[in-house]
Amino acid sequence: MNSDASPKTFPLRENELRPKRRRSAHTTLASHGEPWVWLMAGSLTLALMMIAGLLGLIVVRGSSTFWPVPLQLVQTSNGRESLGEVTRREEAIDATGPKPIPFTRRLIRIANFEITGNHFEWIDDRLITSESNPTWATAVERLEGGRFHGFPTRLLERGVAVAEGPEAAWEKFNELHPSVRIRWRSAMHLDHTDRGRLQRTLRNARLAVVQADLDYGNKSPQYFAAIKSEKQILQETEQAALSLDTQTSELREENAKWSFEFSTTSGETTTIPLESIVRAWQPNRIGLMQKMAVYASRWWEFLSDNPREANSAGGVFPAIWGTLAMTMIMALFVAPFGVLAALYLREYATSGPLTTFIRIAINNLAGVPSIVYGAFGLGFFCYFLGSGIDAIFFQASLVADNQPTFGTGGLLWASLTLALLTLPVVIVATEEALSSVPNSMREGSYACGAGKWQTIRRIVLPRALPGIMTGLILAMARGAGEVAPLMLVGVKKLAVDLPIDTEFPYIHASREFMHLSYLVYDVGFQSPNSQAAQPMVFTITFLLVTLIALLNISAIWIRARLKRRYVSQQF
Amino acid sequence: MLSKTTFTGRTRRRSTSLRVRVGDLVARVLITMGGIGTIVAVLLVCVFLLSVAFPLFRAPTIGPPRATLHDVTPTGPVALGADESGSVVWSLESTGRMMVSKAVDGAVLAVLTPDQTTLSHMTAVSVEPGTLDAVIGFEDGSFRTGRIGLESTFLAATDVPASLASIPKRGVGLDGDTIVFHSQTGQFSRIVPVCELLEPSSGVTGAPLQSVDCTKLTSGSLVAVLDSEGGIRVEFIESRRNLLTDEVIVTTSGAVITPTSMIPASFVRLSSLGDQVFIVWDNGLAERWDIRTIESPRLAESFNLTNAPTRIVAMEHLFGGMALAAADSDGIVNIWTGVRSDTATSSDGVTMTATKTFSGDGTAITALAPSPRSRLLAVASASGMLRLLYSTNSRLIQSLDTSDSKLLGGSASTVIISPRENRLIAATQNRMVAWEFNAGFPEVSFVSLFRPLWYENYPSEIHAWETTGHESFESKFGLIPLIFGTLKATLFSMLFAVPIALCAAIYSSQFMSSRWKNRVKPVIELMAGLPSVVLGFFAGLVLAPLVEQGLMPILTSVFLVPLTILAGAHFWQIVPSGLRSKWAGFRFALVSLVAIPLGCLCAHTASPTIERLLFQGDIQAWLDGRGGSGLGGWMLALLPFSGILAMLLLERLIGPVLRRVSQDWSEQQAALVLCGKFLVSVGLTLAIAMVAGMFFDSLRFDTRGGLFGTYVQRNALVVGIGMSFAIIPLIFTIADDALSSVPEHLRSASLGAGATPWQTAVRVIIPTAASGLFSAVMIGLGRAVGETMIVLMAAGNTPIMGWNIFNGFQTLSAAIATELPEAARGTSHYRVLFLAAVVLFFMTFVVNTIAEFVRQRFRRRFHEL
Repeated sequence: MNSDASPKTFPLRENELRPKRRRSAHTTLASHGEPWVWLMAGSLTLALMMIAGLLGLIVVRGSSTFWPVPLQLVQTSNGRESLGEVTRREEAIDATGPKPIPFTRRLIRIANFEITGNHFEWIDDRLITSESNPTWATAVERLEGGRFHGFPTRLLERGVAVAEGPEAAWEKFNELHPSVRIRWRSAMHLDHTDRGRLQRTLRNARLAVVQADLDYGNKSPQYFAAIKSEKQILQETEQAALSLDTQTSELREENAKWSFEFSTTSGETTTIPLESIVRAWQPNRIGLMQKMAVYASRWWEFLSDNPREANSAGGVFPAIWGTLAMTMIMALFVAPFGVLAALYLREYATSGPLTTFIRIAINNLAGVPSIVYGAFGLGFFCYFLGSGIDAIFFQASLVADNQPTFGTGGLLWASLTLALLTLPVVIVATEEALSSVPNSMREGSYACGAGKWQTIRRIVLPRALPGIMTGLILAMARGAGEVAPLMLVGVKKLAVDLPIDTEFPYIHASREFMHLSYLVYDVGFQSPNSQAAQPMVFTITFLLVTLIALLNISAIWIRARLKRRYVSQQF
Repeated sequence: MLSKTTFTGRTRRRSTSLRVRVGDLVARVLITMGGIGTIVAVLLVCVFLLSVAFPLFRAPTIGPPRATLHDVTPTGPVALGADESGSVVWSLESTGRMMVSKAVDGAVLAVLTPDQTTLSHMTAVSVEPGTLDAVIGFEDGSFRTGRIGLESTFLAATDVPASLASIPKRGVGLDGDTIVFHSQTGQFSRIVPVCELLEPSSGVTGAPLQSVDCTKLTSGSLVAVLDSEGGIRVEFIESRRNLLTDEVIVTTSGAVITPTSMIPASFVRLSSLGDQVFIVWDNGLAERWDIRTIESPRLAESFNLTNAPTRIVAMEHLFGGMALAAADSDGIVNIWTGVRSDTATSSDGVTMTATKTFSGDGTAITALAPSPRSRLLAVASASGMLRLLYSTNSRLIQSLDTSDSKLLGGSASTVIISPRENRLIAATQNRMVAWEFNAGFPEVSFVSLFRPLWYENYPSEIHAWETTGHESFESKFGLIPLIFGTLKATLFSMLFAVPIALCAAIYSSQFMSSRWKNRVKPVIELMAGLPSVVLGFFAGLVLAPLVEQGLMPILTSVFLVPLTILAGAHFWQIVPSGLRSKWAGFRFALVSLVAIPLGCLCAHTASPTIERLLFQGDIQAWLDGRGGSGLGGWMLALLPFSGILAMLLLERLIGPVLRRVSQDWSEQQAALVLCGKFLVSVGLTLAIAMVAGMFFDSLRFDTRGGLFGTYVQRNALVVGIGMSFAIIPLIFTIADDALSSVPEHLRSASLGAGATPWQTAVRVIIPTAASGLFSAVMIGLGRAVGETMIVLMAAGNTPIMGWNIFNGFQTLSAAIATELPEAARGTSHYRVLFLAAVVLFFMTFVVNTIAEFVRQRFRRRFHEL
C-alpha cells in the first residue's frame, strides 16, 4: 500500500538524501475505503428497510381490514355487471394474441358466493364500459356464507313487505336490527352457555356412575347411589332443557319474522333473514363519521367476539384470552424456578468447572429449537405424566368415552412446555441482573451484620428486580409469539370454551385453547378461502405484533430505568 | 465475644439470632434444591428425548420355544395359522382334521373335522396371511374357496363364562367348547374356529392341483390354480347379496392361461391387487400375466428368477403386495419388485427387478412366510435354521437353530408369523413349535435412517422420507432428506443474512454517530422480537407470490443494487475532500435515499432486457428447461466469483502501477482514475463470467438440474429471505455488541497513529472482535437450523433432495411439527420423529457450544487487552 516501500522505484540521487515522503492522492483515497463503507451503509439500510417494510405492511394492511371501502359497480362490454370492493390493481400481459400486450386489471371482491360461486373476480380494464359508486350499494356481513353485496329493495315481515324502496327499507332495517341482534345474542347465550352447562352436569353424573363402578364394583351401594343421582340429574336437566328450548324458540321465532330483500347486479333478488345479518353498511353513502363508526364496531367485534366461518371472520376473543391465560400461567411457573436456579448459580454454588459447564449448558438450551421442546412436551407431559394422571384420577372418562383428560394437550401442559422453553432465558437474565448488583453492596450488608438470606432478600433481590422483570417480560413475549411447540401440546383450531372462565374450578388446566400465533398459521394456511381470509390474517398479525411490541417496549423501558438507577447508586 | 460490656456500656447481643440463622438455612436448602432441581429438569429434556428414541435400536427379543407334539400324521400340517392375538394356533392336517391349540403349551382346545371325506383329498392349500381367506385344491382338479382360521369376537364382561372370569391377562381359557382370550387391556374375546368352504369349482384338466392362490378383493375373491399337468386357470368369484331377498348370488368369471413354456409350471401367485398373476417354473423362469380383464389374460413379461440348476422352491407376496419374495434351493431369498421405466420390454412398461438379496447358509429353503402387517419374512431352510428377515432395509433380524431334537428336530415345512407379529410358529410333520417374539422396530436401523435404500417400485436406491399413507404402504424413514433440507434452509438463509447483518453491524458501530446508532439499534432489536409465525406468514403468503412475479427484477437487483452503491461511492470520491468531510453526515442518507432506490429502479428497467438476453424472455420457462442456453444460469452463478476475481486481478496488476504514477495527481484526478478502474473491473467481471459461462455451456454442463431448476412458488430463495428477517437482528445485535466492546484505547491509538476510520475498522477492530463476530454467526446458524414456522409455511414441505434454489424442501423441525401430532404413541414413526428431535437438538447444541466456547475465549482476550 505504501508508496515509499520500494527503493527501486526511487533511485537515490546525489543531492537528494531521502526520497520525497508524500502520500499520493490515490493512496489517500483508497485508504478511506469509501466504496466498502457505502456497501456497509447499504446493508444497514437494507436491514432497516426490511423491518420498516414488514412493520409498515402489517400496520397498514392490519388496520385497514375493517375500513369500509367504496363499492364499485363495473359494467363490462360483454354485458356483465360486478359490484364490489376493488382490492388490487395490477399490470399484466395479454399473451393470447400474436404480440404480448400489456394491460391493467383489477381484482374485485364481488362476494355473493352462493350466486356467483366466487369471492373475487379479475376484471380487464380494457373491457370496462362504465364504472360508478352507486349510492345504495350495500355490503352485508352475514353469519354464514360470507359477504353479500346488493341493493336493498324491501323489508319483509313474514314475507310481506313493510317497507318498500331502498330508503324506507334501510330505515326500517336500522330500526329493527339492534333488537334482532339482542335477541339472537341471548338465544346464543342460552344455547351455548346454559345448554353447555347442562351437558357438562349430565356428563359428570354419567362419569360418576362409571367411577363408582370402577371403585366399588357394579353391585355396591355406591354404584346404585350414583345411578340414582344420575337419573335424578337426567330428569332435572331434561326439564331445564325443555324450558331452554321454549325460551330459544320464542326468541328465534320473533327474529325469523324479519327478512331483508336485496337485488343483485345479476338482476336476481335475494332475501336474507335479518337474524343472519351481522351488520350492513352503505359505504358510498355514509360520511366519515359513520365510516368511523362501522370501523370501530368491526374492531370491537374482532376483539370481543367468537370466530365465525372457520376463523376467517368474526372475532378472536378466545384466542386473545387463551394467549393471555397461557402466558400468565407460564410466567407463574417460570418466574420462581428461574429465579431460584439463578440465585443458586450466582449466590450459592461454588464456582468451578461444574458451574461453568452448567452455565454453558443453560446458554445452549436457550438456543435449542422450540420444536424440540414441543416434542418433549408431547412425549413427557401429555403422554407420560398426563396418561399417568388420567389412569389414577380420571379413569372414568377414559373408560366411558375413551377421552383422555390430561393425556392430551391442554393449557397446563402448554404452559409448562413454554415455561421450560423460556426458563434458560429467565435464568440467564436473572443471573446477569444479580451479577450487576455491585459486590460492595453485599459486603456493606454483611458488614452491618446481615445474614446471607437477609442480604439477598433486602439488598440483592430488590436491586436485581428490574433486571429480573426484564428477563421475565422478554420470556413472556417469546411465549406469546411461539407457536411450533404449542401445535403439539394443546392449541386448537377452534375452542370456544375458555381455559379460564367463571365456572368452577375457574382454571380449566386440561382444556385445549386457542392462541393468536396459531390463528395466524391456521387462518393463513388452512383456511378454505385463503384469499378472503388474508385481510383477517393481517389483522391478527397486527394485534399479535402490537401485543409483543408492548411487552418488548416495556422490557426496554424497565432496562433503561434500571440503568439509571444503577448509575446513581454506584458508591 | 471478648467482653460482655462494651466501651459505651451498652450490652449487645453478638450471636446471630435464631430467626436469621433458621431463615438462612431454610433459604439455602430451598434455593439449592429448587435451583438444582430446575437445572436438572431443564437438562432432562435431552435425556427424555433419547429415552423415547432409544428403543428403536433395541435388539428383537425371542422368548423360549414351546414344543408341541401332535398325533403323528403322515404328512404333517398343510396349513397353519394363529388368531388375532397370537395366543391360539390352528393347524390343518392333510387328513382334513383341524386342530386348535394353545400357543403357550400346545394344549389342544378343539379338534374339528369338517367334511373330512373331501378334505382328505386335498393337494394344495393357500391361506392369505393374517386373514381367513383360503382356497383348497383337490386331487380331482377342483378347488373350493372359503374361510379357514380363528375368528375373534369381542365379549362383554357379563357374557364371560363364570369359570373363565379369573383367567389371567394374556391367558386363554376353555369352557365347554367356548375358547376365551383375556387381553392385556382386560378385555375378553371369544375365539371361534371357522372352516367354511363354498361349493367346488372345476379346474382345468382334472389332474390334481399343485398350487393354488387366492386374493380377497372388495367385490369378491380371485383364485388362481395350477395342476400337475401345467393347466392354469384364474377365476373371479363374485358374491353379491340381493338386498330384497337376502339371497347370495355367486357369479364366476375366469379364463385358462396358456403359458409360453410347455413344461408344467410349479407355482402360481396372484398379486394382492388382483391385477397380475405370476407363474413360476422349477428352473427359475417366471411369467407375469396381466389379468385386469379376467376373461382375456395377457402376458406382460417373462423373466428369470434364478439360473438353473438352482430351483425356485417358494414364492410369496410381501405385505402390501408390491414386492415378491422368491426363495431358491441354494438358500437365497430375493426380493423382486416392479420398476417402471421407459426402456422396459414388457407390455405395461414395468420390469420385475431383484432389489434385495438375502443369502442363506447354502441349504435349500423349505418354508417362507411373510408377515401380515409388515415387510417381515420368516424363512426356514433345510439345515434347520429359521431366520427372520426385514425386506426394506435388508436386515437379518434374528436367526434360530431349530434342528435341536427338543425343538423341531429338523427343518420346518410350514412357518407363519401371527397377525400381530408377536408369535412365530413353525411345524414339521410331527411337531409344532411356537416362539413368543417381539420384533421391536425392524424397519428402523442405521441403514434405513441414513443410507439410500431400494424401496418397492423405485428404479434405484434413494434417500427418502415418506411416512404417511395407507397402513400397507412401505414407510420410508430416511432422515437424510430432512437433514439435507435443514442444511439447505440454513445455507441459503445464512448466505443472505450473514453479509447484511455483519456489514450493518460494522457500519453502525464504526461509522455511525452514537446518536443515530442509539436509534437504529432498538429498531433492529424490535425485529428480533417478532414471532416467527409472523415471519412465516409474511414469507409464505406475501413474499412467495411477490418473488414469483418479480423473480427477474429481484435477481437483477441482487447484482445491480450493490453495483449502484459502489458507483455512488466512486462518484462521491470525486467531490472535493473538504466538502466530503463537511457532508459526511449525509453519507447514510445518500446511500439509503439515492443509491438504493436508484439501484432498484435500474434493476426494474434493466430486467426485461437481461431476461431477453439471457433467458429467452421468460425465466420461468427457461428454468423449466424449455430451451435456451445454459449461459444465463452460469452468469448468475459465476458473477459473485468473477467479481471477486476481477477485483483481485486489477488490484494486483494495476494497483502498484497506479500507486507509482499517481504521485502528482490531484485528488479529483485520482478519484476519476478510480472511477475508471471501477468501470474496468465491472467490465472485466462480466467478461470473466461470460467467458467461463460459455466455456461450461460448450461442455454441455448446465446449471439447470443443479443449482437452478423448475420454479416452485415456495422455495429456498423465499425461505432464505424470510428467515433472514429472523437471523439478521440476532447476528446484528451480538456482532454490534462484540464490536462496541473492543476497548476504546485500541481505536484511539489507531486513529491517533494516522489510520483512517476504515483502516482502523478493518485492521484493528474487526480482527480483535473476530471471535465475537464468529460466535454471532454461529448463534444465527443455530437459530436457522431449528427454525420451524418459517420453513413450515414457506418451504413447501416436500422432502426433496437437490440444491435447486427454486425448489422446496422439508426440514427436521417442519417434519416434527406436522407429523408428530398424527403419529400414534410408541410406533416407529413416533420414535423416529423423536430421533429427529434428538438430531436437531445435537445439531444446535454443537453449534451453540462452539459459539459459546469462542465467546468465552473472546471475553478472556478482552480482559488481557
